[in-house]
Amino acid sequence: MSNLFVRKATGLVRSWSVMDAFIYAFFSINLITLGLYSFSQMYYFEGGMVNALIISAIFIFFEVIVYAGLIAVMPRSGGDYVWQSRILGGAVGFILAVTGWWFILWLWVPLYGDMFRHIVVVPLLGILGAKDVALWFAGTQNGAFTASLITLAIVSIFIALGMKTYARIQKFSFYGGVLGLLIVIVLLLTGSNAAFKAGLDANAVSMFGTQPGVYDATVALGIDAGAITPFSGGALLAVFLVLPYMVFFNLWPNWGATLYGEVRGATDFKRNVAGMGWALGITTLLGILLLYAISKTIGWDFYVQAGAAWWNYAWGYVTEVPALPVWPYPALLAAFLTTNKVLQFIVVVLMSLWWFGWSGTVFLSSTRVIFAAAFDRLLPEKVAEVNERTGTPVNALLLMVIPSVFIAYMFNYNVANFQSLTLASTLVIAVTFLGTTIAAIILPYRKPALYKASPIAKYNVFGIPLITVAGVIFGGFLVFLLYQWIFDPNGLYGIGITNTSSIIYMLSMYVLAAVIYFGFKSYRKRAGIDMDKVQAEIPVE
Amino acid sequence: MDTLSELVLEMNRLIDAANENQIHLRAFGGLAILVHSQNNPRFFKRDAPDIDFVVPKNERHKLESFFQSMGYSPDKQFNLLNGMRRQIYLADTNGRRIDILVGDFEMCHKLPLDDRLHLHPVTIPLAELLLSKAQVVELNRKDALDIISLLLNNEVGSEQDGKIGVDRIAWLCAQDWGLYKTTSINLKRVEDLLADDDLKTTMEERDLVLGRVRQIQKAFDEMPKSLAWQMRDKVGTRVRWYSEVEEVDQ
Repeated sequence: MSNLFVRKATGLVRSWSVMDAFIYAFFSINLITLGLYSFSQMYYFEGGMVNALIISAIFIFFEVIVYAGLIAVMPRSGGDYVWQSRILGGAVGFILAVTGWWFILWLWVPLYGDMFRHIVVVPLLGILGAKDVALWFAGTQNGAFTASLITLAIVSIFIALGMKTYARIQKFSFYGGVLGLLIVIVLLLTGSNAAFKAGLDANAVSMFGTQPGVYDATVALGIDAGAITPFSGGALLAVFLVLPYMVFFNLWPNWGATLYGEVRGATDFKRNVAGMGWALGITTLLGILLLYAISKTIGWDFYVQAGAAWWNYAWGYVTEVPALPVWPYPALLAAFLTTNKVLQFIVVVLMSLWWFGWSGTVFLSSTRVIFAAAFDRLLPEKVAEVNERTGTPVNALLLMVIPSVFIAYMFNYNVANFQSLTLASTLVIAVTFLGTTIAAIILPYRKPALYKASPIAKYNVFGIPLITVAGVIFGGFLVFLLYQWIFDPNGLYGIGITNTSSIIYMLSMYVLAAVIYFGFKSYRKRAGIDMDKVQAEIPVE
Repeated sequence: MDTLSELVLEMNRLIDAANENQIHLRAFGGLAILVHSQNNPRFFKRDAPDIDFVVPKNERHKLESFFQSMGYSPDKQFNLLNGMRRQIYLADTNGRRIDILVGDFEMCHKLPLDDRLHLHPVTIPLAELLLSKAQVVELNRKDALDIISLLLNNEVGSEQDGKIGVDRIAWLCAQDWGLYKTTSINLKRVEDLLADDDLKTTMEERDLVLGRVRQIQKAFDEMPKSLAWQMRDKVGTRVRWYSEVEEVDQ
C-alpha cells in the first residue's frame, strides 16, 4: 500500500494559523491606531504623506524578507533574542533584544493608552452624551493616566487568556474593524465638504459643548501651528525626511517574529513573506484610500490643520484648549456626516475594534523574549513560570506591568519632558531590528551549515543569498532612520542628542540590560554554568 | 528503553495514582489500542510506544505536581507555551516521555473529550480512540494497523454495550465535514491494506474487519447532514479541510 506516510511522534497543532499571524501583522501596523495617531502629529513636513507611505512600505518589504528568512531558519519563540544571541553573541543578543522587546514597551503603554482614550473612550462617551467625562478623558492628565491603567488591565487579561483565545479576539476585531473602516470610507466618499462642515459644527457643539464655528477656528489654529504637510508630492529629500516619523506606524509587520515558534508552518519562507507582506501591502493601500477619502470630504488642509491644532496644545506649545477639544479622530469626523446617532455609535464601536484587536501586541511579543532569556538562564527561572490554576505567566506580566505604571505616570504627567519621547519608542526598537538585520546579513557566512540546511538557502540574487541582500537594503534604511533621529540635523523629531531626557532614558535602558546580562552571567558562572555554551546551542522548539 | 510490558505497567500505575488524586487521566495512542486488542493483538506493531494521555481541562492545574510526585519533570518550555492544550513530562530515571492532551483531542481534527473521560477507566472511549487514528490525514502503516487491530477486536455498535460507538462516530462526523472526509479516506485505505497479501490476514479476519468498516460507512450514509455540512461537501477538498500537524522537536 503506497498511499501511507511517515510520521515519528505524536504531533502538535500549533496555536496560531498563518491567518492568525497575518492578522497579528496587520494589526501591528495598525492604520487606525498607530497610523492616524502619527499622521495627525506629522503636520509640519514638506514631503507628501502618500509618497512617504509608499516609499516606506518598499523599504519595509525588505524587512519582511529578512524576518521571514530568519523565522524559516529558526522558528523559535523569542525571535530576535534567539537569532541575535546565536549569531552575534550572547551579550549583543540579550542587550538589544530586552531593550527593544521588553524595556521600551513600558513607554508604549502610555501611547497605547493615549490611543485608547482618543479612539475608544472619548468618541463613545461623546456619542452617548457623557460630555463631561469625555472631556475629562480627552483633556486632562488624570484622564490620560486612567486610560493607561485601563489599557494595562485589558492587555493583562488578553495575555492571561492565552494565544489561542487572543487569536479569536483579534480575528473578531479584524472582521469588525474592517467593516467599520469600509463604512467610514463610504461615508467619506459619498459625503461633501459642505455637509462635513455643517456636521462638524453641529456635533461638536452637541457632543463636546464647543462654541459654534469650530471649523473656521480650527483652521486658524492649524495655520498658526504651522500645518503644511501635503497630501502628496514634495521633493525626494523632503519625502525621505517624513519617513522617520512614518515608521512609528508601519515599521512593525514583523511584530509577530517572537511568536513564530507557535505558528503553524513557520519554516515555510514564502508563507512567512506572504503573511507579513500582505499585511504591509493591504495596510498601505488602505492608508492611501483612507487619506484620499479624508481629503475628498473633510479636506486635506483641514485634516492637517486639525491635527496641528490638537498637538500644538497637547505638546504644550499653546495653553488654550483648541476649538475642537478632542483629538480629531477621522472616524468620528466621518460619523458627523450622518445625523443618525445609532449609525454614529455603530461606526465608532466597530472602529474601536482596531484598538482592541491590536492592544495585546504591546506585551504579547515581549513575553516570549522574556521566556527565551529565562530559559537561557539569563533571568530567574521564576520569570518563565505560569500560575498553575490560570495558566497565566504572572511574573513575566509583572515585569511588564509594574514599570509600565511608572513610565505611564511620567509620560502622562510629562515629568522630565517625557511626552517628547514618543519617537524614542520607535528608535530603540529600530536599534534592535538593526542588530537582527546584521545577524541576517552574516547568517550564511557565520552559520553556513544551519543556513545551507534551511529552506531559504535556494534563494539568491546574483549568487548572493537573498537574506543578505535584503538585510543590506533594510539595514541601510535603518541607519538612515537612526541618523535622522539621533542627530536630527533639521530639528524634526526631537528625540536626539538635543533632548537630554530622551538620551538619558534610552541609555539607561541599555545600561540596565548590560547590568542584568553581565550580572547573571557572572552569577551562573559561579554556579558552574557557562553562558557562552548555553547561548551557542539552538534552543529546542 | 522500556519494554512494552513495562510501559503498560507504568501507564496503569499513573492512571491508578491519578484516580486517587481525582485526576481523570485516560490513555490514547498505542497503549490504548493495545488495551482494546487483547483478544488478538497480532496487528498491534510497536516496540516501545509513547505513553499518551488526555485529561479534562479543569484538572490541568493538578498535572505538574502530580507528575512530579510520580517521578517525572515537566518540559517547562513546551508546557509554558502550550500548556493550556498540551503538556509533556519526562521521567527522571530514563527520560521516558509522556504526552498529555488537555481537554480535547486536537490534531488534524478536533474530538471533544472533556465530558467523555469517565466512560472507560483506562482509555478514552472506543469511538474516539478509533477516530483518533482515523482522523490522521497523513496516515502511516502503523496507524492503519491500529485501526485494523481495533476493528478486529471490538464490535461496532452501541457504546453502552462496550462496543465501538458507531452513533458517536456518525454524530461527530455529521458535525464536522472535515473529520468525515478524512475518516472516509482512511477507511478506504484500511480496505486497501486488508487486500495486501503482506498483511497475512485470514479470510475470516479480513471479512470481520471489512464488515465493521462497512457498518461505519453505512452510518455515514444514513446520518442526518446539516445544510452547512452539505455545502462544505460541495466545496470538497479544493479547500483544505484539516489542521496542519507538526512534530515536536525535543
